[in-house]
Amino acid sequence: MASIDISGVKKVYAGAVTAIHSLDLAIPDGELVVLVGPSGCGKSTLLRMIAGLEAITEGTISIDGTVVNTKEPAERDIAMVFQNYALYPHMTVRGNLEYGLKNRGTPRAEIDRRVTEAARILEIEPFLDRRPRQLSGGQRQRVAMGRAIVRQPKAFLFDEPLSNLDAKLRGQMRIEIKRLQRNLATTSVYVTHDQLEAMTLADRLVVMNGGRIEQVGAPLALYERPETLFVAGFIGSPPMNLIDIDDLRDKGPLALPDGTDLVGIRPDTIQLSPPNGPHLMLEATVELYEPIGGESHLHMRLDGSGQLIVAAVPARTAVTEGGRATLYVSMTDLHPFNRETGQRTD
Amino acid sequence: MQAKRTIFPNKILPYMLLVPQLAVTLIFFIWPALQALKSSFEREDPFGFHTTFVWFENYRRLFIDPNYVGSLSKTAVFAFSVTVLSMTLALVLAVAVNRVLRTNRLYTTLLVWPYAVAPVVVGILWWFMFNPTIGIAPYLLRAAGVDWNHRIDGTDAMILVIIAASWKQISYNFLFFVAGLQSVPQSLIEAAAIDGAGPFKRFWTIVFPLLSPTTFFLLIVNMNYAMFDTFGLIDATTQGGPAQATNILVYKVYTDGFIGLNIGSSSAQSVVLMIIVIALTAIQFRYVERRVQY
Repeated sequence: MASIDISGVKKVYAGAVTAIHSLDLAIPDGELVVLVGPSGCGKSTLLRMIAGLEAITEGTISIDGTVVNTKEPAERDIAMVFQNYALYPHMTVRGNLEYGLKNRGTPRAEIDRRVTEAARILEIEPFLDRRPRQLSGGQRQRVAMGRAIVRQPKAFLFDEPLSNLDAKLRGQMRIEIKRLQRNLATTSVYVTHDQLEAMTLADRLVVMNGGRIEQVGAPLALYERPETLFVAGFIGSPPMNLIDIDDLRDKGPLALPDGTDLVGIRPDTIQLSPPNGPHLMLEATVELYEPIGGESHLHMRLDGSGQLIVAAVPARTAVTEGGRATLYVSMTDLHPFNRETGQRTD
Repeated sequence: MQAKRTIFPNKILPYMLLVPQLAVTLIFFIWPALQALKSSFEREDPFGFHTTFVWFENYRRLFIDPNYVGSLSKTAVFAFSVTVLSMTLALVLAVAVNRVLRTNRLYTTLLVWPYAVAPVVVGILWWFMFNPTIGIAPYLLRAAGVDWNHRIDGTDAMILVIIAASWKQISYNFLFFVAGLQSVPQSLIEAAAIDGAGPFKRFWTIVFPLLSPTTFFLLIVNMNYAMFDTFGLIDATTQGGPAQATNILVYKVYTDGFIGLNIGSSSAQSVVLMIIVIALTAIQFRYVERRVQY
């Protein structure tokens, strides 16, 4: 149990490639923070710097109030779950779980107690005497988690732990990770590029891009009020529609702040009947009708600009491909941005 | 095994395709081996006019010959020392190179060069460096109070051939160890570091066990190298001397057969050597390989 404080942290690789530009982030005790962003945004580098696998060029990282910059990974008392699980192939599952405890000179009885406990929690008791290669992907994932929890570390670090699993298992493991983290209340940093995983897991979401933090906040807060164009486009699926303001001027009583030249509209805020209050009204041709199950996605082309726009509508909406549609968007559902600065304008 | 099978419509073609390989094996390996086996049961007169079948007489004589029994133990010392020395040094070098990030290709290339040197030349190089009259090594050793003379001291001679034979083999072992080390996933080492293992412990508990297939393979190759391929090296340095001190089995086969012209005894010796190597390899596969499975 510990807080993690990252202040002014910078990472410059030899050859003067700056991976992370002066970054600040405070993670309180017990929180599950998810770092999300496209590949190369610096999220894994940041995680590896917390773990001590990567040197910190500038700034400080503290765990539990102690600066750990010069400490070895082993001295930081953290546990990490790797993308490829990094299980020791020549040891049994039990051996894998015990390794970290043995290295720290934990008494035998205590090791056995903790391994039994972790195996029970993760339901891997039947595999304790097997080798990792005899396990399925999901089971290996559990062992990797087990190796982290037996140590009872100050913090868990997850480096895209679910990306090697198939979709169904990924959903299952995601829930288990969340439940486990809730029960243990261990401070966790979780890196992923999957925005769905990020949204569902996070207590707090950190969106990164190009070595900088774009926005930090609760997942829904980020969804409802993205502060930058990047966050607007990255969070949410299907992604937010971004429409030039000039194409909307005659579509309704626009009252947006100065400097707005791009307007974001979430697909699920597009309606097919006029709402109460001021709204936009758009005409479009339906190109593709995509039933998802609970809802359907309409891929349409706007009249005039000919821009593609996606709307998420209730499942059995009466529209046909090639047909016409009139779309309504409430004024309160618009996200105004400036294209130049990439910032929100209201 | 889900090997892909090719079905040949023609009955003769598959055999024709095998012929070149089989011919080479038969003519250059099987035939001479059988010839040696046959000769080992025969005695030939000094002029080569007459051969008599003598059953196991050649073998019986071998094992009551103190020179031969001495040669057996010399070979054991030699093969064991060369294997251990060359593999240990190669592993140390490979680990060192594996830690260097930028110039490791350069080091690898330089370290592999000795392997391209012919065994005889290796022998001459070391013979020259350790030459008691003009060599640099005895000169330096004398300054350290060691009187080096492999011409009269059997131990010195043995040390010399062991060093020379190991030096050449280090390159080969090094290459395999570097490849082996590079196939150990970085994340395993990082996981071990987080799990509280220091660099030394990481090596012995994670890296070394993962290298065991490579180590096992090299063990067999090095044993065979030391027993078979070191003939030229011995010939160029000590010629088996002084007083039989470095007369290992493969060299004795040569001297007895080609210098002493005792074809029967020489054949018997090569058959024994063959049996030893086959036995060693079988033992290694049977008992050691089991332990490298994971």
